[in-house]
Amino acid sequence: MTDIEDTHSVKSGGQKLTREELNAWFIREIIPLETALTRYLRRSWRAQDEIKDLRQDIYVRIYEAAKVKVPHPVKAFVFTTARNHLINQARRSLVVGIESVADIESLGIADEEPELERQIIAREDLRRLQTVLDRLPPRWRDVIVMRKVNGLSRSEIAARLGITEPTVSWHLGRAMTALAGLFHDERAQIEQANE
Amino acid sequence: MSNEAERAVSAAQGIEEQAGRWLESQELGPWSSQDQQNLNAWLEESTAHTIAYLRVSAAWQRADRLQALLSTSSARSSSKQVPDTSKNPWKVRLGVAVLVCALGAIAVALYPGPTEYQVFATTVGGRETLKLNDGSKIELNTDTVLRLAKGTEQREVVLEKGEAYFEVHHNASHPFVVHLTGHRVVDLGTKFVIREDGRKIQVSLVEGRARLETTDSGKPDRAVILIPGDVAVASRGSLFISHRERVAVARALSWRQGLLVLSRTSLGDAAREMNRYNHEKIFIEDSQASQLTVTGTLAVSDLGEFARIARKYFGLAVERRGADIFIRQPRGSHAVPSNHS
Repeated sequence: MTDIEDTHSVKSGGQKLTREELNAWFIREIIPLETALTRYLRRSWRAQDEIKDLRQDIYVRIYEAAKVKVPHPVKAFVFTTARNHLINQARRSLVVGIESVADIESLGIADEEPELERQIIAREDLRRLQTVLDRLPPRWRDVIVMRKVNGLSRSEIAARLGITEPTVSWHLGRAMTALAGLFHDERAQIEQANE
Repeated sequence: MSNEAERAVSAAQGIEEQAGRWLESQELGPWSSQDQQNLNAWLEESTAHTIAYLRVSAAWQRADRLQALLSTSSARSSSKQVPDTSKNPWKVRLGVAVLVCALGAIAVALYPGPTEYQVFATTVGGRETLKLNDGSKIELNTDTVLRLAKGTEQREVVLEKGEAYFEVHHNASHPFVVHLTGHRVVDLGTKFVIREDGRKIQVSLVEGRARLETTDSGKPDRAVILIPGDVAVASRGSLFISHRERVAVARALSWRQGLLVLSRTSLGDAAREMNRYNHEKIFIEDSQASQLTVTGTLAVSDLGEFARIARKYFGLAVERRGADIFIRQPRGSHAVPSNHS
């Protein structure tokens, strides 16, 4: 059984990028699509606990493809890659029917002007940030604010919160991870271990 | 099957948490070149690692907007002179967090007292640049008095009066603090200008970030984060923050070139500005003349040019008495007709 290749959907290719350019491209072009991508995955895939993993696989495929040639238009490529990946996964698992992979066109994910989308993101950013902070555990919020807004060091944060420095590290590391999920996926769960 | 799925999910989550740990150490340090090598090796290990790292760092960068969110809400609440009574619980929490930090900062940066200070002063029309041990730079404008903490650290300054431009070499574990009447500015990696004229202080942020805190005894401490373009004007009991274009903020720095940049400035204000730099003073004698607006650039010491503009472009009467210059509407003329009588 051969997997569907992603490359055939690339209409026209860009130039080859350096590692740094590639990373910047990924942050600039792909990450902003995460909300839409996650929504698509949730609608198309029954096992919701696998979404995170599927998304990561799709990102890896996109990144690997972009190493060779930068895809254009980006949005169409992302969703084609996503669909292909889901179909391949469905074939493998033989559990989910292929028809459960929703049609891209039916979701209205046409290749809009990406510039416009980014502008909307910028405008929505503050509101989104507020919602995201709302959902974080208080401790995590505290360390983020103390670092981002007050520019405090690890030891200063530890002193103010009355916790040890390793605990500050743990909180901030987890808070950073949680931020990434919450920003792009409104149904993301915070996986919080006990303190 | 379900077992495999579970393991797969925890794998993705696990990688993200690893990425979070890398970013945490990068953010709070210590971060050596060996650490960077280790990170690179981890990133090279698999594309999934790179993706997770990019995702988490993109979100962390995005949280930079938090400053904007916070400074707008504090600015709003401070100009209204009421505590933030927002129903949104985290806003209140943020306020508390900032307050906690502000109080903490007091403990870190003890207000002048036991510390020994070195005094630097400029005369009227003078200008001086101080280079500090840590690479920071302070430029004093005309008629300014500044005290600098003695010792190797030199991270504490008291601006007694006048105006100074600060280019601060940031050190998170040892913040640079400027003490003012009733307020304090703590840099978070910054270039900024502070003007202290006895009645009010004005802080203009050119680059980076700084925290402005009130230190009035008997009043609740308040802290506001300033971002580039922010101009904060604070006096006893009030604090206003406006956001200006960078050009406008750059104008506040023109004195470093010995220039006064006027942009729809009233003649009265322009004269007051000129007077800060010169022993010879300009007096605008009637209110009508002082309300005329002027746009342009002139040398801070060029009183002759100022007088010439008043005479030539505004048709005002200019008279020299001693060293001073007096400007008013020519006698008998009413250059600005009034519609309402």
